[in-house]
Amino acid sequence: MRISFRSQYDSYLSDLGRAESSYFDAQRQVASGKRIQSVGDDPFGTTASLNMRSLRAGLEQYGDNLGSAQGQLKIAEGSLDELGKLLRRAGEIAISGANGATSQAGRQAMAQEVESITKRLIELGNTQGPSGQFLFAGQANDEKPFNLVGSTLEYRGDDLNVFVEVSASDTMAVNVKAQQTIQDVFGALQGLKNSLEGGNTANLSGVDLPAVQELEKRVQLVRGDVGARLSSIESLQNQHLRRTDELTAQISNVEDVDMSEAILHYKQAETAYQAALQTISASSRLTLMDFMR
Amino acid sequence: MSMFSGLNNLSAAMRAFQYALEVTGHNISNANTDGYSRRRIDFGTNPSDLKFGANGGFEIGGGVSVNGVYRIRNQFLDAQMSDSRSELGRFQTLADGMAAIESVFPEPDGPGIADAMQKFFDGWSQLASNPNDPGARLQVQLAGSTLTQRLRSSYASLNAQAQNLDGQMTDGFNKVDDLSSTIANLNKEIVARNATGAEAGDLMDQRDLAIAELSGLVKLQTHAQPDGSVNVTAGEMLLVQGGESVPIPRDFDAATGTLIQGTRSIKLGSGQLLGYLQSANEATNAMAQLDTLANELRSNVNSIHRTGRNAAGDTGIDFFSGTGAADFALSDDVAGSLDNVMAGSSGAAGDGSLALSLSKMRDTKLTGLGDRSFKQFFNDLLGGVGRTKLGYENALDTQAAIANQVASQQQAVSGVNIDEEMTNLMRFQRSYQAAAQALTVINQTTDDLIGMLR
Repeated sequence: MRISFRSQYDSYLSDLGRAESSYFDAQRQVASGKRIQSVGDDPFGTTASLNMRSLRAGLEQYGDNLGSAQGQLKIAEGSLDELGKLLRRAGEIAISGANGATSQAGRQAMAQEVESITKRLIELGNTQGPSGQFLFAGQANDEKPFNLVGSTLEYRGDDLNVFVEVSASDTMAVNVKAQQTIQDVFGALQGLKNSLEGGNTANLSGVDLPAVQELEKRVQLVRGDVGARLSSIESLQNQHLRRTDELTAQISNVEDVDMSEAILHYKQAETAYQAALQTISASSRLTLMDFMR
Repeated sequence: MSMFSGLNNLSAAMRAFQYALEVTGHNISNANTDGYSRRRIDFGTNPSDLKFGANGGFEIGGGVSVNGVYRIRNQFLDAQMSDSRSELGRFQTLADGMAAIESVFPEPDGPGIADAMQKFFDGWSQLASNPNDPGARLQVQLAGSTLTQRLRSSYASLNAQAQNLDGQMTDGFNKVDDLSSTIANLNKEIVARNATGAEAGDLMDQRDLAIAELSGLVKLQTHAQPDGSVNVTAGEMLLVQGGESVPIPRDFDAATGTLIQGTRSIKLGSGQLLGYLQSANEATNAMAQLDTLANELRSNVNSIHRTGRNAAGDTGIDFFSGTGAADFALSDDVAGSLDNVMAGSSGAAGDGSLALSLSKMRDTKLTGLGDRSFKQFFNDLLGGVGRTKLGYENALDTQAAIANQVASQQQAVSGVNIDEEMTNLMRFQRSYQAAAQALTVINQTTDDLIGMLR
């Protein structure tokens, strides 16, 4: 083909331009570490990575939700633990109260202790979570659920669950339904106190002690349920963490450059650019004029 | 006369070679001129008078004369060049337009609509899990406000893009009219010059250049006339006829890619003008999809949010307001008070059921979005923009390669090669020297003859 003076220089220019722009692209990839700078770089990769980013952000949110569920349930677990201990103490009181060797004055002192146990029971029933919510009140958790009115314990909460979203498909209740148990404990403590004050040793050993022991078992069951929820929170947290790590790796696979490959490309582009520069300066020196005199 | 005919012939030859040197000089001088086609000088023999010898008449030849100076140009390549420049103009405009549309969306890494939607639904999830926490309500309010703000600003940028079209089209129309009238004026001059029998090479080069430039704006056809003028049409539109140019109609319809002249709509074949119309159309499409997204977000979130009841017993409160993406915003109620961010439908402090349904909405496939979730809909919108941009960029690369190919073919025919011109320079110099030498010899013989008379 006939090569004109112009197209010779035009092609120098476009070759140089191409070498320069791929050199620049390679440089940019190495410097930023990103393979996809904008959607048009890889539309399929971008939508895939957006999907994964959204899944990962969802997992982070579920992780936060799990954290808040864990906080509330741990506090409830502590309260239930203490309630169990209180009931054990009440059992001991019932046993020593039923003992014939105990004086009535001693029983009066025990009745005083039962009174303070009752007070503590009501406090535990009104346990509050991290945001001030009452954990044993169902959804109506913005006011004290257990209130002593005269000699009866009134429940002002409701029977509904408070749910936390823990994964795309699951929710978990973070309140503890213990209304009946707490009211029964209150009743049993009242009975125990009456028996102590009346010196009714038969009731103390025959009615109050079994009632208190029975309730201790019921509280254990409720506590066990809370413990089960706490351990499933832990396993969900682990699952989410593992999945988050996987997603992070996959997102990086799609979006980020393979460094060794990028650096190799960069070196190649650099060499090509240098070669183009050298060829141009060498070949543009060749014309017939150099041989004429 | 025969005695001096040799002298005359040789001086004519020296003149011809001098012209040839000048043509070579013209070629070298214009090696860098846009649209220049190299010139070739065409020599011919002069007729000679008849001589008579023993066996009858014979001819010696009358020396050389210049028949003309012609452009070396391939008209077939001109037509190809014109078509490839139209497509190049269209794809260049489209690739630029799509790059501008793409830049409206900062995904995947930047803070865009996808990120805002995610945070919005995460906010509801957090509120569902902590209905008692005013911080969670604030989070929802902020995330909602960010989402509306990002949708609005993306929409506004696309709108600016589409509005920009009017200015670009006016520029394009002005350029078309300028070039048409340049071509018409050149036609007039070329016809006048042709009447003298000389080829108006420089004017023809200028006209070809103007036609090539015009073809970048609009796909056109040229029709060479016997008088040397060229008529130019673009589809059904007449742009140049002889010495007259016709202004291009200035009304257009972007959706169909047509120009409107009275009741007639003229389809544009290719070129930058069509590229402007098509890229404005892409921006309008993306805007329509943002409208759909905003409308679906508003109606679906509101219809659940309205069933909410707060501690004060207020109900029927909208979360979003607006009529599309342009005025998409938080409702005044929600923007005004955190208490109007609903978490439940019962009014109980621990009721997060409504926030939970709103959080679940992120994966709900909606009929209004073509059975896709919000996320899928937006991803498809974004993927569409990216794929279209990539498609036009690839088409541009291909078209640029084709245009380069045609241009270098044309240069191979019409471009100036310095080595070739140098060779011609030597050739004509040598020829001139030879003619001068021959003239000296004939002069010598004439001199001898005259000397005999003394």
